[in-house]
Amino acid sequence: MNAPVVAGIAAHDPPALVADGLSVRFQVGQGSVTAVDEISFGVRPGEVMALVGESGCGKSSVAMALAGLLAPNAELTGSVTFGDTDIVGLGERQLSKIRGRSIGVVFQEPMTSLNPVLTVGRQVSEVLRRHAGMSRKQAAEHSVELFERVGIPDPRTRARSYPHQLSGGMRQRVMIAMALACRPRVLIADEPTTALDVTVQSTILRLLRELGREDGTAIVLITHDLGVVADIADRVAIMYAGRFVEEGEVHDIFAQPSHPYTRALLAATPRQGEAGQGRLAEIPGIVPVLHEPATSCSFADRCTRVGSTCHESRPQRSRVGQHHVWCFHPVGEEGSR
Amino acid sequence: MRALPGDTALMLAGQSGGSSDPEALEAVRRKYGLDQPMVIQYVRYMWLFLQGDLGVSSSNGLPVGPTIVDRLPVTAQLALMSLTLAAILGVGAGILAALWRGRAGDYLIGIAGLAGISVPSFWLALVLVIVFAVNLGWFPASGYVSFVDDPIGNLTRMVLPVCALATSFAAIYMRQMRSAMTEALQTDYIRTARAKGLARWTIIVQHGARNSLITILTLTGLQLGALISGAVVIEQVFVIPGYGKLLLDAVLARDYAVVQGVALVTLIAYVAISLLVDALYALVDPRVRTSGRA
Amino acid sequence: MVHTLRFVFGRPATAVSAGVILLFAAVAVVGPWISPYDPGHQDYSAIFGSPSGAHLLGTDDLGRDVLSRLIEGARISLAVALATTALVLVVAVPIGLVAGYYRGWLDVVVSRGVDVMLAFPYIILAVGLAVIMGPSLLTVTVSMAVAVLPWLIRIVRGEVLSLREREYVSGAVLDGARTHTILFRHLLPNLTGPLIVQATLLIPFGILGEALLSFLGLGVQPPTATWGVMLANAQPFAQSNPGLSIVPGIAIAVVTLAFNLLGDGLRDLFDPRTVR
Repeated sequence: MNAPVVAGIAAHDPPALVADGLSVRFQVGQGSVTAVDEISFGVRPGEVMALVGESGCGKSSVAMALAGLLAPNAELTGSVTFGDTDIVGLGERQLSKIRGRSIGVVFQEPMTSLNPVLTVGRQVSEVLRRHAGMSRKQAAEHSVELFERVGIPDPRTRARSYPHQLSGGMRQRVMIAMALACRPRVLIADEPTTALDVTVQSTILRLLRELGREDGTAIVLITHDLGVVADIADRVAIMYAGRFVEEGEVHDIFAQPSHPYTRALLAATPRQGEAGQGRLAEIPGIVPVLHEPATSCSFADRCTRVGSTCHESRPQRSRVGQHHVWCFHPVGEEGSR
Repeated sequence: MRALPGDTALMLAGQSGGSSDPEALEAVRRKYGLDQPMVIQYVRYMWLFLQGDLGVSSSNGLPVGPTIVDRLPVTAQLALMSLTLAAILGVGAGILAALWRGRAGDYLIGIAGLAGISVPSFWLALVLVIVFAVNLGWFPASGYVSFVDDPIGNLTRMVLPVCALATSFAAIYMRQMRSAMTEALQTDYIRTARAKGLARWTIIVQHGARNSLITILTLTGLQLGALISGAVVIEQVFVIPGYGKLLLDAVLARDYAVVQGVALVTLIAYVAISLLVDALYALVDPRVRTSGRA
Repeated sequence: MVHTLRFVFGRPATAVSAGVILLFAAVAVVGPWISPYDPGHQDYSAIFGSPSGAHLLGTDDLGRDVLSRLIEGARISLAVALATTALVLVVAVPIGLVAGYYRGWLDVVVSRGVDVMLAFPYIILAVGLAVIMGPSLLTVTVSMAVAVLPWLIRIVRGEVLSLREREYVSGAVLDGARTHTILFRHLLPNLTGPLIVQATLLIPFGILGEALLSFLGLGVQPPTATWGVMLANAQPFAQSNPGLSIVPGIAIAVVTLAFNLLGDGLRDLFDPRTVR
């Protein structure tokens, strides 16, 4: 299920996207909340990297930060590089030239994410007209091809439909066609199947992965569902309270989860085939809201393996087998307890 | 309208030069069918109405139908021009206010909008006359000429009335547009439009404003009554021989035939405009257009 | 209450409006005692007088003191506005409450009725009433009330519909609480906020309406001085004595603006959901 990186894309290709020391803080009233706390990662062309965590762990903030779509009250630090462009600190005008061309985004709600009063064909065409310099006619023609590519039956007719005339799955295909219209280097998929019928979830995910590989697009997949990760991701980062707690190849982490939180997540997820609705409610406690960057392990209060160091300083990245973990007492190092 | 006090026959008799002697009154009553029971009068009226005959004005003896046909275009011009001006100003200012939300420009537009709905239109009309007609002499203070006879004269005479009538509607449009646009700008599809890297202007006009137009259309439908009311007042101030003035004069003169005719025609016009608004809905909102098969 | 006051006086726009309104109300109440002249007193030796020490705002075409007439006008404006507002509230709240609570055919009838009334040009109604009842203060009050009635019914009904869905109300319904308990103990108190806002916005409507109808000769009749009557009197002299037209108009505009500003402010306080 976790196919190795496909032929033609070497494991040491330069990454399409690099986030370095990325932090997001929101100004709320007089204070501020740290949503993302200095995370770093890279995604290679054709690779699917999943960011997983409970709601409130900061994964959606990462997605919005990568696309430069954070709310005005958000403060972004660190760097996000596509090729050689760092988008942190760019103005809306410069960002608008990168978005849609180098970064595509697929949102969670295909119902509300499409404009209800414009035809879906038009909504795809306008990306092409803006970034690929196509005429109205060329763009319309190419939109139909894109619809065909994302598996929309009868694409010519469908292009003239309005969003409310399409099913959820079809709408999400439209979103994908829109996001991939200009063959971006990076596609950000924020919970792309959460709002869809279970029956179409897997089809949409596979479509995303296939198209990503064909075009060599790096995909950042945001999800709370480890079933989805197992389905299509090559690599995964588990997020907790704005930080990574474990990161590596999907099969390594699934085979040898080392962070207590990852283990808890996996335990809370139904096995494959039992409908992947891991709601993770089984871990006691809630994700803390951080007003200041944490000075201890954020998971300490919910952790079963907590020790005194956990409350005193922040765990640094360490290597466990083939992947990385941020933990003072990772599972598998029994001697340390 | 039959509930109005005053005796039509008395007025008609006075109109035709007759005195108030009982015999003359009786003759007048018979002539206009006023001696018949109410129901018969009503049926007779409707029957004639369907043939395009709305009776005869009791104050000047002219047939009501042609009088209304004469006056209607005057008010239609005033109302349409005012509504257009109000929509352009109001929608534009509303979009700007939404884009500048919370900043100085938004605040200024907000105050201007409140002032617009607070100032009585007839007083604004007086002030406009004092400033632009009396002191500056740019426009005539009152009166009306037909556009066909004298286009320039027609338009210069329309400027002040249209401005006076449009102000409060512009303010209402602005306030509505501001909140519709603010709401639209927070929707997911605007986020999608940004994610697509569309130009700011495209996002605002094609994605934001287009959706807000639905609200504006609803508002226009609701403001129809207020528009007619406004026209009555403005026509009074500027001595414009329109539909509104016809109605007001007729009521004050207890000219039943005219009042009935005007009320009926207003109702028909109202229904017609409502249908038009519904048709426009379908044009702006595809969800309405296809609701039959969706 | 303290919270509301702090809110109102804590922001410049609402504080100034509240100040203007208080001043207006004070003038209206103590008017007869502070009025420099009898507002009806005609002084033919002082026709069209300019503002002076004796007549702060000058005199009109019959030599009447403009300031005194303005004060009398404030009194009548406020009276009409309050009466209109009260009348509307008394009629609209029960109708809206019942329509929103019982829904079904009753609601359909009320809603359709409201739609028809909304479409009808209120001026035609006012004109008709003026002719039937004869032009008077009462006519103005009734016609303005009828004009805004449908708006308020619609608002109350909408509020009730949404309140009805709240847990404490549906809970009370399930507990078998008696209808009047639900209506008066659960629904009505929660309508207070929106109703205060609406009342604040109804008052300027009443003031504008009185001015308009009196201006058209359908409302208060001369010689009683109201702002609308003053404007109607002044209209023929707009060219020679524009001041006579401007003064009452400014009074109307300022007071109306103050109420509208306060109403908008209170809406922020009581109904934070509204996008503003």
